[in-house]
Amino acid sequence: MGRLPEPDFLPGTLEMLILQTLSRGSNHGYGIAENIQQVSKDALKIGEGSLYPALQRLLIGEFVEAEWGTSENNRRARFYRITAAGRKQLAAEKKSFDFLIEAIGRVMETT
Amino acid sequence: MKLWNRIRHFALRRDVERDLEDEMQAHRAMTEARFQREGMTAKEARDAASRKFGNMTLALEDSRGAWNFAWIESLGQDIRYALRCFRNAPLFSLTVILTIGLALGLNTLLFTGFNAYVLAPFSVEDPYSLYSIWWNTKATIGRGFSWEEFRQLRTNNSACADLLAMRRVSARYNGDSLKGEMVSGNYFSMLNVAPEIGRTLILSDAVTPGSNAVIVLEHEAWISKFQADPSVVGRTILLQGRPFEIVGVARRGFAGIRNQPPDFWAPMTMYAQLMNGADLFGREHPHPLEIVGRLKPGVTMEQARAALLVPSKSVTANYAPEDRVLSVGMQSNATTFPLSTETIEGTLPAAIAMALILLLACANVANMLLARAMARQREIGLRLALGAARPRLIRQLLTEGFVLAVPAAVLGFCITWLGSIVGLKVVFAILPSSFASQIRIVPIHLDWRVFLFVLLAGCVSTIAFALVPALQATRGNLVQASRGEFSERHSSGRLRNMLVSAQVAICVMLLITSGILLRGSRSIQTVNVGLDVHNVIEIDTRQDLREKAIALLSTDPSVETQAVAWRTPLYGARNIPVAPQDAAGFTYAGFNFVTPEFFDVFRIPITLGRNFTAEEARAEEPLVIISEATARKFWPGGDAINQTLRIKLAPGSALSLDDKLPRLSSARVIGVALDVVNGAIIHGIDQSFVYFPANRAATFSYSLLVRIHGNPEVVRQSLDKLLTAGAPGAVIQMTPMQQVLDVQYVPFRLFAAISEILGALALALTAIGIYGVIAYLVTQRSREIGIRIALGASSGSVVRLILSQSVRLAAIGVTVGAVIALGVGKLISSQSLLLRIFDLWVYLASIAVVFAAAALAAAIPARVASRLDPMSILRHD
Repeated sequence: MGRLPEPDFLPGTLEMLILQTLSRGSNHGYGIAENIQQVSKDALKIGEGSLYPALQRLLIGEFVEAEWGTSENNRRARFYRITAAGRKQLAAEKKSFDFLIEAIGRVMETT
Repeated sequence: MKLWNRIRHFALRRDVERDLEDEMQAHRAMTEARFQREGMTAKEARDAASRKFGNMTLALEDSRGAWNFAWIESLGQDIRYALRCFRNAPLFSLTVILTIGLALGLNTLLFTGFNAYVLAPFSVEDPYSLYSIWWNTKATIGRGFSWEEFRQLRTNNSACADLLAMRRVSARYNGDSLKGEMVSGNYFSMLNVAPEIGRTLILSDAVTPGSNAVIVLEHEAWISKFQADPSVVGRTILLQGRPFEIVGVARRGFAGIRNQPPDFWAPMTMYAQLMNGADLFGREHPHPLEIVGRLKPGVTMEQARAALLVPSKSVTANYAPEDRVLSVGMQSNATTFPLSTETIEGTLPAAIAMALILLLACANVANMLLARAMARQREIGLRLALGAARPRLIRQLLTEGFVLAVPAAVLGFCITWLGSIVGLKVVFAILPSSFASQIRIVPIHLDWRVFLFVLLAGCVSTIAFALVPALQATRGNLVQASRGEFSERHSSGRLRNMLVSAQVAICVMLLITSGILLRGSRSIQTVNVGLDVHNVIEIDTRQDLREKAIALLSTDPSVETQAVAWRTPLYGARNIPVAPQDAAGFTYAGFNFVTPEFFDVFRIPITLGRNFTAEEARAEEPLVIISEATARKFWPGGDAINQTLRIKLAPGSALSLDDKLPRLSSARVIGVALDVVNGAIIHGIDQSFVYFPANRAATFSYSLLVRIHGNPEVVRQSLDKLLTAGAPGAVIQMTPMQQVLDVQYVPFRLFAAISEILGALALALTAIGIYGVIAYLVTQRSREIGIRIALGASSGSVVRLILSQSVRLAAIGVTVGAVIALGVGKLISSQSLLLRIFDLWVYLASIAVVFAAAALAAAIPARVASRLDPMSILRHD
């Protein structure tokens, strides 16, 4: 009890990244992690220890749905698909994230 | 929905976990495959993948944690654990469940009544838009309406979608008295009430005066008085000697829109035929109608009052100045009583008494749990030492509370259910027969509000009794806790003592209050009303058949004397301002119009002067007989006879629909009568009373008072037969006066009985509470007591030690309780002059009883203490 998750992201941003990835098409956990890593040019490495709890939270919130399927190289994998609620949530998170980044940027530019 | 999602997954949690594990395995396999593609050997790839993935169990655990299954699972564990604990202490659990269940039951019972009368709306369409409407004039506040006034108001107003008119009547059917509601033709359509069988009343039923002798039965009355026989529809029955056709039964659940359900509804146009008063539709009739309006959507009550004032003023524009409408009064008619400050104030004393009982029960259980928590200190200390978080332990202890509260709430609900049935049976059994047969109460349902109330009260009491012990038990030092050493801390002891003293205080207060009420009810039953009511029967008759009835009765040998009076004594008096000739200010006196025989019928001696003569009565001459108290007040020491009494014709004294006022401004005193109770027994002997002569043929609202020989009940039945045969429809009601007197004792008997029950309950709870605390103290102090005994203390001194502790606790409570009781006494004494609030005997008795209970409750633990074997105790630690 009481152990905090790895503090590699601002709280909630991981979910946003996952939703963003899934908004381009459904994917399995490995695929999501790979995708984020590739797109961010290896800057963001998602540990499985945070990826799966985050996916569970998204499932609880009904922002994603999961279904077992077969991966591109014929492995059994669980595919996640973004729901309508997920898209709405993504839009909202994007907006507040942009706002935050802009605000932080303004603070940092002031010398 | 999210909660539902969680719960659904909780049910499938094994699948969720298997999915997670499979998924992570797949993830690792993919990582491994990539490493192999990048040129690692199979083993290197597997190791690298494992490294990269890290602790899979932990990741699994975290993912599981996101679902909060652990919380739900531990709740299940807590409940199972609590059940096991309570199975091991069945007596304790049973005591807690009984204590809380009883208190919850009493509270819910009271709430059920409150709900039925104040919260549950009438079973009609949109009850919350219904408002009763009345007029205020200079002469009368709360004036009713004539048919014509109702008709005009109905067509000329912008605020109400519709208005209905109604008027309560009672009618004889088969020797039984039925309550009826005379209604306008739109009554059922406006309330949107369908028939169960047959039809309801329609507009055309109430158009032509005297036409359409039809009635619709109320559902419960159909069951109880007509055996739910569907063939009653179309049958013709005699009401008040007149034929009426039953056209239908209103749907089940609809019991009218006022405080007593009617047995039938009849069109207003039959009013004159049924009651034989003046014609309702003529000008000469006063204003007997009550009006209920349905506000248009979006119209507030204040807007409606303003909107109704304009047509009201124009309707009454040509009336005498004191009869013109000044303002329109309105009140919600959604429930039997509106949820107003007055209603809440009225129920508050009972609610407080009940809440105190619940508080007492909670204090008791809290105390027992506290003592138990001390006994479990070692277990709790061990758990804390092993790393259990305090909130987690508190949650566990609270869960234990809830586990006890659930059966207690179920028990409470059962008590409410039983109580609402048995309680009503008891009330009806206490009521004199001729009243019991007439009273009908609104339907009492255990609906969702009652259910919600039990639920809330249960939760609140659980928190009340379980939270403090839980906080107390889990506080503290680990090392001490694991050794079970808590006796050094005094705070919990102080808390327990306070709880016990509070219990004693509440108990003393309830005992004293119930004692005062009990003695009050005794003394009220011994009040000499001055009237000889034995062998007097009150007969309500139709006005047109009254003379015929009097003639018939005078032929019967069992009839001794017959009198006619405007008001029957003991139904509460009406007052007018009167004064002696030369005085400046007026004082209020009760008044009545009576025929000369009135004084013979009730055996009221005329101590000075003389009675009215028959001629004086018939002419209603300006003469008056006054009570002795009035004579003393107005002409102290002097002779009242032949003095002049001035009467202020006081319009505006809020007189009701059937009131009759003397048309005199002064009258000559011709006699002085002995003081009696003309009004209500609760107000005692009349402070002041005046009798005017009555012409028995003049007004329709006179009652016949008959003194008879022989057994009142037997004679009542034979007279009823005589009148039914000789003057069918004449009798509206026949009531022995003894029953009129008896019915006044009922509230006092009920109050006394209820307060006795509460007092006894409080006493039992307090005794249990004291016993629990003292027994615990003995266990806690056993070492000290053992040393005392080893050092030579006698068993007597040990008993004294324990008893004195108990008595000390009681003494504080008794003092506080007695002081509160004085305040409560002041409050109730404002309701009746006959209650003696400072009744030394009651105070002493209550205090003695509480001390005795405190000593008795401590006696068993004290005996246990005095028999402690010092050797075994001292060796034990």
